Order: sequence, then C-alpha cells, then structure tokens
Amino acid sequence: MNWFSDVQNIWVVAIYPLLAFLSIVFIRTFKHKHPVLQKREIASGLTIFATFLGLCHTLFGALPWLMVQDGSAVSAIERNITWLQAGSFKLSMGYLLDSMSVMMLFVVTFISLFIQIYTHGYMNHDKGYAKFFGYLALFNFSMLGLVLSTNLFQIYIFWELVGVSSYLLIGFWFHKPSAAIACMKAFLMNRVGDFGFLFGILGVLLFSFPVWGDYLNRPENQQMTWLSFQALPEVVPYLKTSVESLHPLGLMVIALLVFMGPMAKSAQVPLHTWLPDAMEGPTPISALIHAATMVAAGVYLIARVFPVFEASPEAMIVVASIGTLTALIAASIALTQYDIKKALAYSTMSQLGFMVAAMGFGAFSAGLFHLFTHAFFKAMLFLCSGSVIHACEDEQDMRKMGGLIGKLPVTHITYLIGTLAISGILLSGFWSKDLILAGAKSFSVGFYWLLSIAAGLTSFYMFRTYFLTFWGKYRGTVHVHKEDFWMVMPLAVLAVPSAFIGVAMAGLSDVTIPFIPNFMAYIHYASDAAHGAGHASHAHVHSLLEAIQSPIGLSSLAVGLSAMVLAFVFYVLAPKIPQVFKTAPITASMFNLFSNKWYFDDIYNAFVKKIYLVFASASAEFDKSGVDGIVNGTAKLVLSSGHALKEIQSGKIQTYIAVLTFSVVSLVLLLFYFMV
Amino acid sequence: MDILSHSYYSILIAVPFVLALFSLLVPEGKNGKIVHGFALFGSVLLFLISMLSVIGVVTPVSETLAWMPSLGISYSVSADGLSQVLVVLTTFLTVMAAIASITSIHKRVKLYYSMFFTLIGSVIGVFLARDLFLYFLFWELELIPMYFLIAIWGGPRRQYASIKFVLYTLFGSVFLVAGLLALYFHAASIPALDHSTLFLYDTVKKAVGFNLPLASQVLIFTALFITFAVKLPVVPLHTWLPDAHVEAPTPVSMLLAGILLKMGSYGMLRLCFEFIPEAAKVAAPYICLLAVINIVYTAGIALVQKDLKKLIAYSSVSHMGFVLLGLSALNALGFNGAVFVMFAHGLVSAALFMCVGTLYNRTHTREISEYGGFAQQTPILFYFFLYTAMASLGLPLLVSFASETLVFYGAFTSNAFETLTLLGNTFPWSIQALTVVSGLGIVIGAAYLLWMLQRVFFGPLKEKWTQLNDASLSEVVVLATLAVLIMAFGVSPKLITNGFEPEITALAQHSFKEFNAPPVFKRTGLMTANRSDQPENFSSNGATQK
Amino acid sequence: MPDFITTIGLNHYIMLASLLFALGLLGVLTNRNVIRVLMSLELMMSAVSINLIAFNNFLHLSEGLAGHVLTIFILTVSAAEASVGLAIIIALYRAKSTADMNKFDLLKW
Repeated sequence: MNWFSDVQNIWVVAIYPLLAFLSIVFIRTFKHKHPVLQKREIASGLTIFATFLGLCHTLFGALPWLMVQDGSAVSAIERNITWLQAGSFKLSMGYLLDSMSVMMLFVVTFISLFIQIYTHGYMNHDKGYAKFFGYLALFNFSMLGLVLSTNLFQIYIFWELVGVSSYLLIGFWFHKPSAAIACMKAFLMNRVGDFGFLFGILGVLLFSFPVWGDYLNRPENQQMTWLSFQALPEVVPYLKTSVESLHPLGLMVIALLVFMGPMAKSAQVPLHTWLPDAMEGPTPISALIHAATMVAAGVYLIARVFPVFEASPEAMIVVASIGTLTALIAASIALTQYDIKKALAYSTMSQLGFMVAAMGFGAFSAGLFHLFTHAFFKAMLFLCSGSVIHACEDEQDMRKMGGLIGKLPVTHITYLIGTLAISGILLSGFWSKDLILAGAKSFSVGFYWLLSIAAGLTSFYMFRTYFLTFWGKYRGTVHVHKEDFWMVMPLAVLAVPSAFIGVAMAGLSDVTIPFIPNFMAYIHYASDAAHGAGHASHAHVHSLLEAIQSPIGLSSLAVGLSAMVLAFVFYVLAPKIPQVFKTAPITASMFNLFSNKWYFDDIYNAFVKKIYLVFASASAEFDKSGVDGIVNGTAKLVLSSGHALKEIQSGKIQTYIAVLTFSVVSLVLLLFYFMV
Repeated sequence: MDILSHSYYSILIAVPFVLALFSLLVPEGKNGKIVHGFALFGSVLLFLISMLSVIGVVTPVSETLAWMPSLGISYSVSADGLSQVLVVLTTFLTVMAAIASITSIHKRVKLYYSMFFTLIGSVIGVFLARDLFLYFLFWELELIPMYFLIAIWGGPRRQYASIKFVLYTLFGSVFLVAGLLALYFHAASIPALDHSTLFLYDTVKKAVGFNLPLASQVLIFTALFITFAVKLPVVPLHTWLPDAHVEAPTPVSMLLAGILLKMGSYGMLRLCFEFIPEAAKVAAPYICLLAVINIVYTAGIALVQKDLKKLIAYSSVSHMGFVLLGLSALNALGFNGAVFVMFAHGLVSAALFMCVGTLYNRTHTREISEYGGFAQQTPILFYFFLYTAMASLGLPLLVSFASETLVFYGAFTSNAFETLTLLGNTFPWSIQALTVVSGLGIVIGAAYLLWMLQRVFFGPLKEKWTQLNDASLSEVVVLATLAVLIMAFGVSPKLITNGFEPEITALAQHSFKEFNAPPVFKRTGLMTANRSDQPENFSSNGATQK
Repeated sequence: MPDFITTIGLNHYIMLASLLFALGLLGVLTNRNVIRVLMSLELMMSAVSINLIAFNNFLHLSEGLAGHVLTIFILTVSAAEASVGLAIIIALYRAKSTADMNKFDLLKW
C-alpha cells in the first residue's frame, strides 16, 4: 500500500498506460509466435489494469494527500527533469500535484476505468478489439501526462499527443470514408488551435524571458522550471508590463493566442466543427475523449494559465463571449439533430461553452466544477447512447428508435438521470450550472440571460432525445437486442456520481458526506474572492434548501422544468408541432440555419477548396512553370541559341569560302580605311 | 589503438573509398547477392568505426599535413560536435540505404555500390575537412557519383533529373569557387598569417576578422550562401530536388534527403555563419524571409502534389526551411535548433522516402489517386507510414518536434532584427512576425501529410490492389530501426544535443554576442535589444512588488 | 598614246592576276559541279603564279629567279593536288552518286 499512498509516485499513473500501450504493441507484433499472445483479452486486461492502478494511486495517494491539507493553502508538489537545454534556457518535464491535478486525475482514471470495462462489451465483436485497447492506453497516457504537466511546454506536448490519440480513435473504422475525413478534420482543426497555442506560449516566454533566470535561481523556486504554471502568478505582472509597453492590448493578444488551443480542443466557435464529426469514432471514444476528458482539457488549460487571462480583462470578455456564443449556437444546432450521438456531441459543445464562459467570467471554481460533474453525466449519456445503438444494430437515427423503455430498462433509467443532470434539474448538473449562472450574473446580466436561454435549450433538446428514443412506439425495423452486462454495469456505476456528486461537493453545510471533499474549498483561484465571481452565489448559501430557493437556483430550475414540459408536449403529446415549426416561414429559415450548423462547415470547405487549394495549386503551377520555367528556360535559351548558330555551319564549303572572302576583303578595306 | 586514434579521421574518409574500390572487385554472385552482402557488411563496418569516437573507445586527434604549401593548401581533417553528429548520421543512413538497396537495386550492382560508397566517402570528407581546398575537392567529388546514381538507376526521366542536379550544383559551385578564392586572396594579402596554410579554416577565420571591409564580407557571404542555398535547397533554387527525388531510386533518395541536403546546411553554418559572422548579422533578415518562404510556400505546393514522392520531396524542402529559420535567429537556441533539425530531418525524411519506396516497389505507381484503402491490405506499412508522417508533422516525443521546438523558441525569442528592408522599403517585420508566419508551416504540414494518409491508406480498398504484399523483412528492419531512433531522440533529445550543444552555444555566444541576450521591452514603447550580457534583475523589476 | 597602254608594267600583271583570281573565286563560289570548282581553283592558283613571276621580274631584276622557281614548284604541287582532288571527287562521287557541291555537307555539326 505504501506504493500507492506515496504521492511522490504519482507520476507513474501516466506511466502505467504507457507501459500497457507498449506491451500491447509488442504483443500484437509478435502474436504469431505463441498462441497465448493471440488472446485479445490480454490487451483489454492490460489497459484496464493500468487504469485501475492509476485509480488506486489517485484514491489512496493523491486524494488523502490533498484532504489532509487546508484547501486554501495546498502546498503543491512539483518535480522536473530537464528535457532539452541550450545555453541557460531549459525545457523540462515533470509532474505537478495540486488540487486541480488531483481532481482531473480522479476524473480521468475513474471514468476511463468504467468506460474501458464498457468497451469490453461494446467492441467485443469488432476485429480491432486489441488495437482499440492499445489506442485507449495511449490516450490515457497522453491525457494523464497532460493533467500532470508542470509547465506550458510540457502541456503542449501532451496536448498534441491527446490530439493524435483522438485522431487514431476517430479514424478507428478508417475504411469508412466519413471516418477517414472526420479524423483528419479533427487533427487539422486542432492543429490550427495548436498553432495559436504555440505562439501564445512563445509570446509568454518572449515577454518574460529576462525574469526566468533570476526567478528560478531563488531557493524556494528550485523545483520549478521555465514556464512553470506555478510561477505564472508572479511572472505575469512582469509579462504584462513588458508586453503592454509594446502595445496596450499586447497581453490580450497573447492570452487569446493561448486561448486558441482550448478553442480547438474544447470545440469553441469558430474551431468547433470537428467535434460533431468526431462522432464517427466508436461510442466509448465519444464518451471518454469527446465528452468527458480530452475536450475538457481546454478548460483545464485555461485554469492552469488563468493568471495570464486574469491580467487581461479584454481577453476575459472575449473568452466569456466565445463561451456563451458556443453554448447558444451548439444548443440551437442540437435542437435539429436526429442522430443521437450528434445531438449529444452538440450538447457537449454547448456545455463546454458554459465552462469556458465561466472561465471568462472569472468564475474559476464554477467552470471546473461543471467540468467535473459534466464529465460523469456526459460520459454516462454517451455510454447510454452506445447501449441503444448497440441494441438497435448500429442504428443512430432517433426517428428509428422509440419505445425502448421496456427493452432497455437500465439504459433508460441512467439516461433519464443523465438528462435530468444536464438539464439542471436538481441532479449534479444543477449545482455546477447554478454556480456558472451566478458567476455570469455578477459579471454581466446580459451573459446571465443568454446562458439561461442556453440552459433552457439544453433541457429542451435533451428531453427531446430522451422522449424520441425511449417513449412512444418502436419505429425501427431491426430486432432490439438485450442489454449486455459489461455495458450496463458501468452505466449503473456512473449514474451514482451523475446524480449526487453535485450536491455532495457543492459546499452546503447540511450536506456533508464522509470522504467527499468540498469542491470549492480546494479548487479555487487565489483572487476568486476579490473577483466575487464563483464564490458569490454560495458565499451566503449554506443549505440545500437555501440554494434551491435562491433566485438563480429557482429560475434555472424553472427554466429546466418548463423546457422539459415543453419537450414532452412537442414529442409525446403532439408530435405534429415540430413539423409546424419546420414549415412556418419565420421558423423555417431558423430551422435551416440550425440544421445546417450555421453554415460553418460550408464556409470552411469553401475556404479550403475555393481559396486555399486554388492558391496552393497556383503556387504549384508557379513553381512548375515560373521558377522551374526560368531554369528550363535558361536551358532552352542555350539550346535554341545553339540551334540558331549551328545553321551558319552548313557544311557547304562554298559558303565557308564566301564568308572567308567577304571577311578578308572587308578586313582589308577596314585596314585601308584606318591607315589612310 | 594509437594508429587508429591518430589517423581516425583519415580512416573514416578512406574506408568508403576503399569499399568503393572493393565492391568493383567482389564477385557479383546470384542476383548480386555477394555484392549486396559485402556492401552491407562494409557499411556496418563504417558505421561501427564512426561510432568508436562517439562511445569513447578512441579519442581522435585532428590531423594537419602540408600538401601544397606553396599554394597554401594543406590536408587537414578534424571534427567538432557538429561534424561528429553529421558523420554519424551519414554512416548510419549508409547502413539503412544499403539495406534498402537490397530490394530496390537489381542491375549493375557492383557499379552501383562503387558509386554509392564514393558518394559516402566524399560526404564524410566534406564534413571532416578543415581546409577549404580539401572541402571544395570533396564537395565537387560528391557530384559525380550522385550523377551516375540517378542517371543509371533512376526512373524514366532520369537523364533530365540527373543533368539538372549536376548543372544546378555546378552553378552553385561557381559561387563557392569565387567565395573561396576571395577569402584566399584576402588571407594571402595579410603578411602576419602563415602562407603555407592559407586555406586552413582557422587561418581563414582569422583573416576574415582582419581588416576585411564589411561590404566584401557581405559579398563573400552572399556568394557562399548561394552555393549552399542550391544544396539546402532554398526557394527559388529548389526545383532540382523534387525532380531528383522522383527519379532517384529509394536508397539514393534516402541519402539525398538524409545527407546531401545537410551538406548545404552544414556549409551554411560553418562557412557562412561561423567564418563571416558580421555579414551574417546583415543577412539575417533576408535569410529569415527566405526561410519563411521555404516553409510555407513549399508546404502549400506539397499539398496539391499528385505524385506521392514529389509530395514528400516538397515536404523535405519545407522542413529544411526550419534550418534557415534557426540560423537566422542568431542565438544559441536557434543555432542548436538548426543543427538538431538537420539531424532530425535526416532520420525522418529517410524514413519517409523508405516508406514511399516500399509502396512503390509493390504498386509501381506513385500517383496518389491510384492508391486507396491500403491500411487494410498492408497494415505494417501503414503503421510505419503513419508513424513517420506523424514524426514529420511534428508529433511531440518524436525527433522533429524536439528540433522544431528549439527553432521556434529560438527564433521567437531572438532579437536578430526588427525591421526588414526590401527594395528600398522598410517593413515592420520583426523576426517574431516572420516566425508566426512560418508557424503556418506546421498547420499546412499536418494538412498535406494527413490528407495523403487519408487518400493512400484510408477508405475502401481498390479491387486491383487485393494481391498487395505487406512490407518485407529488410524493409521492416530499416523502418523499425529508423522508427526506434526517431522516438529515442524525440523522447530524450539530450542524447544527441549533448553532442553539439556546448560548441554551438559557444559559437553563438562568441560570434553573435549581442543577439544572445533576450530582447527586453522597455516602457519607451520600442523594442530594444538588451545589448549587455546581464539580464535585468528580476527583483528590481516591478513584477514582484505586488 | 598614254604610257600605260604602250608600256606594259607591273600594274598590268597585277590587274591580270586579280581578274584571274576573281574569276576563279567566282567560279569556286558559284559553281555547283565539283569538277568546275576544282578547275576554278586551278585558275586562282595560276593568278598567284602570275603574280609571283611578275613581281620577280619587276622588283628583283638582278637577284635571281626565286619567283620563277616557286611558280614551277606550285605547278608541280598543283598537278599533284589536282590529282588528289580528282581522286577525292571520284571517291565522293562513288559515295554520293553526284558531283553537286551542295550535296557535300558532311562538315556540318
């Protein structure tokens, strides 16, 4: 047990899945050598075991370590080793253990574990079973590495690595052209974000370069390294002074460049279009990567570099606006989707919008709390959709489902729990969304209303998917299979935190459960109190009843419930109403806008195909006929002048003699002319 | 051991030439098996010899012998970290290329290997020479075997490609001769120097620092730069490379991308930046501009290529642009990055060309549109190709990422220039702005590689390729070895950077002192370089006083 | 009567030789038939010989017969040359079945 409880060992949490991945690669390479190696359960066993060990480290090492400390003054552990060095400049990697990374460790290992168990059931009939688990292990390694990163450079490394795992997993069924394109799109869009992120990091480095040497030389900072997150609160003021001496909005530019990373990874407008397409991947992936963990990494990153954002109010406004816009746009698109996974994808995007907006409001804890609760219920919702899809033989269209209550009882219950949670009706989502709304209200009332609308839309479209899938009559043609134990078990497990983790950790004095820490007590930003956001709503709310009865709580509950009722009317009582909206002149144009995803894809496709590819072809043509044209032209010039001159040498002696005579005579005449 | 360490460098140069001679004498055997075996053995031997100094078995001594003292020419060979890294890269890729030759070279094998080893010998000579005349000799010698390697064993347009290659390089050599002679005559005009060793690197370096007007320095720098720009290659002198790559057989492509291009970047760093630093400071903005064009422009071209090998060739040009970018940063980070990119590019581009060659050996076409769905049919090749492509597009923990990171960090934190004067106009393009533009290269780089992977490997398999075989053992050996190294140096770049970092950093800090302090931004609103070695005291800044 | 008509001097010889040379050159340049070209060449040669003798006569009266000797020498050589030329022509004719100068263009690139 010492091995698990010693937090100095926490870095091995990331190493386990790496070892699992490498062993799977090794075993699959030499699988023909021995029959035992051909057993594909080796792969799943290794991966699940690695994640399990990671969870043990988190539960027995990191969490106790955190909980014995006072939440307001957690002494973080940071260790680094130099990765690359040139002169005095060093790039390092290591691990950073503080309340935030413990939270993320728990989310990632816990959810991964149950999703991997679920995967065993879901992918059982796929011939790429072992490969899939290998990729999962690779993803876990990258994600845990990201969580434990100590500095901006290291997080960029793992940032890209999760991207590539996501690429591999989205393109898992690469023989489908749509999957092949989707994975490429995901990678490229993330690359665009990474481009900004990279130069954001470089911007931070450039404008704070002179201070790092001295800063790191101080005895108390020996454990830190260049670009350490922990150093940011102290370095950012210098950064701000130096960059703003160049331009008053300099820091905003840097912050927004950094924000481009989260923008792509957390699917914020306008770099969001990859996420819905990423649903081409197998459903466990959608649950793990594209709902619970990787897409939330963007929010995690913002939290990590929060000092940079905080120092630039303009950047905060932009972040808040983009988050809110994403929440609204995604919710509006989700209204029109019939593919259950796509609808859930847009809902994920919308919820990520909430989190990012929360960060923009300065509601640091609220954003991370929503990340935390969302990870559980959204992962579960996706797994439910997977269960449905599995049962209906890979049917994803909700118009061909319906009436599954009796056929998939566990899935139904858990899906309902998830829907209630995300809709903000008392289950976990309510508590985190409530905090975000409170943050919005103290930031600007406009944002509060916009997010309330988004919350209402969330409730509406989630219940729409729920009613369409489970209520009414079965509209499909295929026989509905029974639920698989390996798939139902994780659902049941995840349903518990989905339902209760919100209230349990929301910091209410009448709800304290042993071993469950108060989220806000540990995860907060140093100057949260000064900003008033985040803490504000709960600063005077101490009990369950007070929280629900507070104006924000009440109104969000009312919005959620009324949207639920509306969805019930639309999709159960009077299914003709949606048709009316689709055809009525004003709403029809809106419907078109929504169902065409606000034309983002079309604009990007047009940009790439009509502008960039044309430009690239033009430059290729220029290279061929322009640059190479000059080269070949020179060669041709030499050749053709040779050809022209060779005609003089006709081989006819008489011509030669004529030229000779003419030359001699003219030379003599010339000589004569000049002599006389 | 004593002999070995005293004539280590000469042995390194001589062994390939001896191998070249012997591969003509060895019997061919059935299908050239004996020659192939001999060549493989020889290349491994060469590699082992080159490793002796790396692992510290021998401590080599630099050699300088009078050769033609009346003309100031001497025979001088030695190696610093930079040369060492490149020599080891060369000998290693020789082994890889020798293995790759087994499957792709079937005619006139003996002649092939004699050319092959002559090429290697002259390249090693270039890297080890410490006398400009000797350098020039090896530089020119390299042309001949390369010409034949493309012209005899190449594809359908091999004549065109090989002649183009030779003419282009000779065009560059004209400037090299001019530059070398200018340096020589300048050195000869200084009585204080030893006139029997005028071509020696040290003499030349001293001579440049001695009373050579800046205008002449810039002129000589430009002449030398053009030579190496052809080899690197730098847009617009790059069009020989795609043609040469497309026509050359796989192992030759590997050597071409892996080693020969490095001759250009090596020369640039050694002859241009190390010998004539004052001119480099003047030229840095333009070199940076060229670097950006190299990276972004050729990446765009690669995107729309229909020929797989051409795509890779253009990507190779694009990545060499990072060497230029690193050099133009004029600081320790950038220089180290540039050298590291040379090394990384050597491994990655060789692996990429190996992948392409493997594919070509099976399909006999390079048209991307002809491919499709190969991931199901040739999974091993697919994984290697995917891996190499990921390495090329800069996936972290693989070698390119580490090197390009250094370049980006170096260029972005450099204070090499703030404005760029072009055709009499001054543009406010600082090196930071240009670096951001070159960063687009990593986006486009991902685009063309992933799109290529999608078109070649993903989607449904075409009917005509259902009989395709997966990679054979020898191909897997090459690809796997490269893959392991790509990862090893990517995970732990210090393994390789430790080899050259102290010297390169010293070079940057010695010759480009004023550029090595990071820029400091003052309240004046203008970016002013901190021209002193002492960075500002952190605690004296307003930063900590909250 | 003017002097230059009654007394034949060096100028007359030079004129004659020039005319003869020009005539020969014209023949060489314009004739298609290779035999005629050869004959024209002989004509040019004669012009040179005339010059040699005339100059010998008018400039070096007392000093011997170098010009005459040279002329005799040229005559001999030109006889040999003519025979070699004819031989070449025959060879050419055998190869090309023609005596047309324009057909003989093997000397080109």
